[in-house]
Order: sequence, then structure tokens, then C-alpha cells
Amino acid sequence: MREMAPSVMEARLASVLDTESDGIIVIDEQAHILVFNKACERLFGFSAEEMIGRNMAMLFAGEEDVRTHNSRFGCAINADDRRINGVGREVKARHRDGTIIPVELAIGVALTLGGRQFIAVLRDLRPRKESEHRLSELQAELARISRISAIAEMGSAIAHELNQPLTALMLYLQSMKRPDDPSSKAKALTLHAMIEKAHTEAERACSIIRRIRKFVEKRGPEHKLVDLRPLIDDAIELAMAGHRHLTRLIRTDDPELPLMSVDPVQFQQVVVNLVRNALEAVSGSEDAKIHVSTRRDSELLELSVEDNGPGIPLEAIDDLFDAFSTFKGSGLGLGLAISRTIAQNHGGDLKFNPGSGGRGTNFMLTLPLQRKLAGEKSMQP
Amino acid sequence: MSERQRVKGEIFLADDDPALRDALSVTFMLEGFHARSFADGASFLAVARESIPDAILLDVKMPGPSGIDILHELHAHRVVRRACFLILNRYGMDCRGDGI
Repeated sequence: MREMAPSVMEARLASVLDTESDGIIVIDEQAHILVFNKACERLFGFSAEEMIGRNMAMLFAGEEDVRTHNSRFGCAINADDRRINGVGREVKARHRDGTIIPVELAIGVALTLGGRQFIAVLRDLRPRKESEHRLSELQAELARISRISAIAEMGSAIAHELNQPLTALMLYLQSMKRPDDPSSKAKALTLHAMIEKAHTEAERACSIIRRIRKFVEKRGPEHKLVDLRPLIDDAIELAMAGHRHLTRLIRTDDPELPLMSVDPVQFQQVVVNLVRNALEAVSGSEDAKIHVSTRRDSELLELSVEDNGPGIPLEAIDDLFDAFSTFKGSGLGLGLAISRTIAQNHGGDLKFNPGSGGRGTNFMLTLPLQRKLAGEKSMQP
Repeated sequence: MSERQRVKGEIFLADDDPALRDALSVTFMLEGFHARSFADGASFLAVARESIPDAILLDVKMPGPSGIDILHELHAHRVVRRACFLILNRYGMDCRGDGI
């Protein structure tokens, strides 16, 4: 083949640019637009005609971003930084109508006779964001179904738990209704004290219901910066329903527990699940004990739930985290699968030490102290 | 009413729920009984082996010996026959407290 005529090259290039589904912009060293392909026209709502010769910075949102672009480009121009070539990063693009669009921006450098030119390839991240969002919504819904199922399984224990304060409340009310005080001791018990006690019991019943309602209410995934200790306490209260009399729960916290960014209910779901598993493991054993502790090091926070049960049978270890696998003969077999998904969605993990041979099981939920959440990635380069 | 006031007796009750224990004690006291309450099976048994009340009220599920364990133990000591009556709280009992 002989050298191709420039017009053929140009025609091919034009065709490639028009067919390409990603946005492609070519700029000169001053960031003036030289090429603006069809995908860019669709992405930004500007025609190539309108954009040729204008500064590319106008296509990006936020002063910070624009400055960064210019400095990045400057950097590329001055230092010919090879790392910039082909490395995508997420930035905010701005459509003609003002809509902010998350895009992945990769920049390449071309050396031409007329000086350096920069090729920016822009990929619209909205479809990916949308599917990520949908996935996270579906996972949240599945997690909620699993919470409802857990509450359903705890039904009779919760009924008993609720019956205690209500029975006490009724007995106090019954006593208040009495027309006469047959003994002197009774007179000492003022009506006011009884009302106080009845009130405390009504509060206790309410807080049980509140805890359950919060646990199962329909809500999307959310992340908040929170103190984990009250969340852990609440989750333990819920999980221990009907087991308080038989199992000793020991609780220790790292004195320097930082605030953590978590989905509070999903975090509690993991704790409830691990404590309930531990309760099942120790049921029937003498001196049943569960130790829930937190510990932090420089990079992560670890929540450990350790029991003194018989450990996990060897044959159950391999598929312990698989959905619908259970060796307990009860439940859906979703608890650990969902707990691990929750841990991973938080940038952490769920591990275990299966115990046995006189040692109980230990589950460890680890969460990174500093992390980027899914869907919360920094828009800054 | 006057007849009820004459009937004073001692009731032992064991329940691990402090509020329920207190509410039951108050109720029995207002009814003219002397109520002694215990937080678990072991402390109840320590006293019940020595002193037999007129009535016993037990929670089934408690730390240490359960209500059923205590019933067996008391039966062996013939306390059951000597105590006037004995009621077991059932799991999820209603407020009237069904007896055995």
C-alpha cells in the first residue's frame, strides 16, 4: 500500500469520531476546542459549530473543576506527564441546560506540527451510576426483607419481651384502682410512685416497638456519620429478646471509637444477625457467654462477636456465606450472605474463625476508618 | 372484703424481670399478703428449702434453675404438698397468670 491520501485519512477520522459512542474533544495548548464529535453534541447539547474555537473549561461544572482542568492541562503541557495519557478520572460535566453530568475523563497528548494537542475522551457515567444505584436499592430491599424475616422468626420471643412491661403496667394500674389500702406499707407507696413506675413500663414497651419499627421500616440506603456504640447496644437489645435469662452477654468497647459513616440500620442488621447466630450456637450450653467487642487500629474498626459454643461444623465452613445455605435447620440461610454484602458495601468485610475443639466461633466485622462510599465517590480528581 | 383482709399469707415469687417482680409484689402487698421476691432460681431455692410459704409463683425461664427445675426440686423436698398452691408463669403468659 502506498501512503494514503490525506483526504482519505481525514474522512476515516471523521467517521471514527462520529461513530464513537464516547465524547471526544481535541484541544490546543490553550484549551481551545478543535474537534467536538457527535457524541459530545449529544452529551452537552451544543453543536460542533458552536463549540469549535471556544475554551473547553466551559463544559465543566464548578470553578474548582475548571481550575483543576487548566492546571492539569498545564501540567501535561509543561511536564508532558505520561500518567495523564489514558488515565480516566471522574469529573462533573455541564450540559447546555445546566444539568450536571458525571463523566469519566481520559486525556491523551498528540504531538503535531502545529504544537501539542490534547484529546479528551468523555464517557457518560449516568448509565453506570443508574445501575449502581438500582443495585444498591435492590440490595437494600433484600436486606430489609431479611430483617423482616428475622423479626418474624423472633416473633414469640418479642411477644414475651413486650408482655413483661405490659403485665407490670397492668398490675400497677390494678393496684392504683384499689379503693382501700389494707396495710400500712401500702400507704407508704404513694400513688405518684406507682404512676411513675407504670409510666416507666409503658415507656419500656414503647421502646421495644420503636426499635422493631426502625429495624423493618421501608427506606432506601443511607449513610450517616454516627457513634456506633448506641447502635450496637440497641441491636443487642433486639437480638437478645427471649434469651436474656440464659445467656451472659459481655460487652467491651475501644475507648477511642471514632464516628463512622455507615447505614445505621444495615449496620445494626449485621450485629443482630451475628448475635442471634451466637445465641443459637450457645443455646443449651452451661455458662453460655457471648462477647461483643469493638477495637480499632490505624486503618480499621473491628466489631467482634465471639461465643463459647461448639464452633462451626467443618462441612459447613466452605459455603457459610452462600445464600440459602444453613446448617442450623432454621431460617432462610440469608443472614450471613446479606451481612457480608452489607460489610462489603461499606468497604469492609466479614470474616470468621470457626472455632471447635473447645473454642467457640468468632465473627469479625471490619470497617475501614476512612473510605469512599459506593455512589459517594469524590468528584474531585 | 373483710374476709379477704383476714387471709394474710406469705407468697414467694421468682422472676428475672425486675419490673414484673416489683409489680407483683405491690399487687400482693395491697391484697394483704407478704410477698418475697427472688431474681433467679438459685436464690429462691436457697430460701425455699428452709422456709415454706403459703404460695409460690415461679417464672419458667430464669437464669440458673428454671421454674420447672425448681418444681422438681420442691417436689423432692415435699414442699409442693405443704405449700398451699403453686403457680407457674408460662412463656408469654397473659396478665391473669394461668396456673398449672
